[in-house]
Amino acid sequence: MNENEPRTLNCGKTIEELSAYLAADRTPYDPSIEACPECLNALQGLTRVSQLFHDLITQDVTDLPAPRENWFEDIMTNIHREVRSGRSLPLPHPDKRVDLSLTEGAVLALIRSAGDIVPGLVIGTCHLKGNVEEPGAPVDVSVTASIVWNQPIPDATRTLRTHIYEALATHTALNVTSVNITIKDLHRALSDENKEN
Amino acid sequence: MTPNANEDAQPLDEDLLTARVYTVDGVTDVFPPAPTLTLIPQALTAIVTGSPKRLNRVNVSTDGATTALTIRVGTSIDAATPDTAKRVADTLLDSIPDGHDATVTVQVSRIA
Repeated sequence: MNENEPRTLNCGKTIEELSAYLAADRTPYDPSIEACPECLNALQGLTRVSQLFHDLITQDVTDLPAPRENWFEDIMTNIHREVRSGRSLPLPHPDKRVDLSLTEGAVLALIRSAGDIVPGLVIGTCHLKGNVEEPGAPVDVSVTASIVWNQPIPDATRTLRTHIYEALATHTALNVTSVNITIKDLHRALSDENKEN
Repeated sequence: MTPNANEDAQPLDEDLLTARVYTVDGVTDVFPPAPTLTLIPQALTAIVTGSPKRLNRVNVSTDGATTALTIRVGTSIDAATPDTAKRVADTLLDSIPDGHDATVTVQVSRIA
């Protein structure tokens, strides 16, 4: 995707519109956003990115390069991709007249929120690999993440993996066979890069 | 002639059903049953009236023989989502009067 191309959700809103709405403290109240689960999932992800950005520029770590220039752009693009409803994950119900399901977008947003528990970590991409629409089929979870320089990676990944497993066990009927986490970025605070310039 | 059972039964009221769903433990939101882009007239009404609940409701449709109840909900991260979804479905099933041949579709679109 071209970075100037708007990232549009199924509801018609763009990530850029939602980012501006968030920057305006969600005023004036827009019911077409506040009544849309995709928009709300995106706003949740954007809020975390915004908080992380703030955390980074207020930290004082000097030994590693700052995040790539397009680091936040990549995360926003991933949020755009993930919040769309996606596949339909079945939930059990004994009555054959009932059809219960969970959207893939809701589950990916749930996984992304599990990253909040780990200080300095932000999830880059999340994927559910496998036939999630087939009850009981094995599903592998693949996550990439970025972590701030001073966090021990083994501890962080262990904590994240535990929370992802617990969240998926509590909120889905997926047969999760693995949670694979790749730390793709290690960075210091943006404020130090700014000091050098 | 035997009348259609659905013609004899009381119609299902979307607002009443929606209100019942909001009382279910673990439900945090009720969303429009279709993507908002396809609900522009309702969205405009909601903006004018300042009432998003005009958008967020159980959808009841019928083909004359079967009534379909459809709802998209948000659930609390503090409650197990499969249990919450089941409670929503059970609440809707319990709301169906005798004589209605109905199906219930519940989609969870957000957990927060």
